[in-house]
Amino acid sequence: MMDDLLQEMINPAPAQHDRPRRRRLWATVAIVGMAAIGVTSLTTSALFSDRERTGGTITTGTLDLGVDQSLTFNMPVGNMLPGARVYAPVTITNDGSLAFEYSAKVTADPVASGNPDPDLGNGDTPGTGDLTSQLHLDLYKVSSAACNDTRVSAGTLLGSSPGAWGIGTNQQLFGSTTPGDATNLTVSAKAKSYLCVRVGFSEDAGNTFQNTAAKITLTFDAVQQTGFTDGSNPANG
Amino acid sequence: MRRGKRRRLLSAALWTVIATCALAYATSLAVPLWYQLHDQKLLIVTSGSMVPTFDPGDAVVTRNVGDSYELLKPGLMVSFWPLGSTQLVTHRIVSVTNIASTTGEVDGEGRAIKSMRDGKPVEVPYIITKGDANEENDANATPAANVQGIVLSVHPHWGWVLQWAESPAGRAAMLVPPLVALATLEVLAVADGRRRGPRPERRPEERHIDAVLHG
Repeated sequence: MMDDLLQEMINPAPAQHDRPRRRRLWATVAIVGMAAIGVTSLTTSALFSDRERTGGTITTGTLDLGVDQSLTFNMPVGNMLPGARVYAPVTITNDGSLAFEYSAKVTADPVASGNPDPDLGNGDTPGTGDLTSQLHLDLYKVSSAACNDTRVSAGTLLGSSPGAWGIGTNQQLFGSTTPGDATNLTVSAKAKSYLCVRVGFSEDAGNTFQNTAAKITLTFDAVQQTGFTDGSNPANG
Repeated sequence: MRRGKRRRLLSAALWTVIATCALAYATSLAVPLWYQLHDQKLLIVTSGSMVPTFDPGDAVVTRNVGDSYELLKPGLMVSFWPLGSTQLVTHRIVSVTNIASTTGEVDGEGRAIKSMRDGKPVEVPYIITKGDANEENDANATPAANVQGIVLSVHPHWGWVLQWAESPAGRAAMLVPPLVALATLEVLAVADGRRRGPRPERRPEERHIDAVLHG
């Protein structure tokens, strides 16, 4: 008995060589072989390497806010009288590759009147008043570069200089430099944002404000939008 | 006799299972490979941002672009990695533009300083993209270098099928039944052999000769 077993181990009976058996063997080899191919990187990369970044250059985005260099107000003929309102368009362009959100603040400084021969009641003597205390600024978002009374009434008020009259230094009009601030305005890459500035001159301004001038500076701060680093931006979907 | 007929039917059914599953599995391997050999790729669409051009679950065939940025034209659909993302997005090109690189520093007025080389600003090709189903352009521009490929064709519903075929469940569904069928056939053959009685044993001398020949 033991001898038989040993004999079988040392010198096993020849395998059956019938055709059905060989066919089953080959089918098994083929299927197991294909399964093996399936788990190699050869085929998985054909379909799935697109899910990950391989090689390639790393490009960082650029944040670049472009804005008109100077505000050009449409001045009324014969200069600005008390109660008048003047308008100036501002176009914010995103010159970089990343969307940004921006906020705006305003500063007004009194400057010497540049008018050498004003056609005003008190001759050419500049008034002694600080014009900045008699001005009020409103910033509107409009749909195109045109900026006037009708455009403003169709637009959205973004913010105003605080108080009824008077513009100070670095007064926030809207938004903040905190990314994600809901009041910030966003501009996609290479897109534009059209704004319209309206400056009013107090009706109650007296003669001391004749032939005076003020310089208005708008400062726009852009910050990168948050939530884009992992591609989770729904707009990307 | 009836037993023999039933056995033949069972055997045919099992072989059908084996052939069908093996063929399906071979196809699921061959299709992506075929595209890869042609320098193309199959991408499974996972979001609805390009509806109705293609839907989630479709597959798109893309042709690799490499450094040939001049191939990128408005109106083409491309697959690209958005800045800072590892997930491919397939959207339509709205415009192709050059964007000046910035040094990352700002001047006295807080403006971004442009990178200069030989007195000229350094400009990098970018694409502005939009999903057909989206109202707005994609927020960020994409460097042309991040474009993986241009979409050549769309195959409806291929995506789901391929995704399933590549998943463990799909592979198990295609590989386990034929292997089980083969095992069943083997067991049946053994049982048949038993029923027919032991094979005529070869004589010990013959086995000895075999051993010598092999040895």
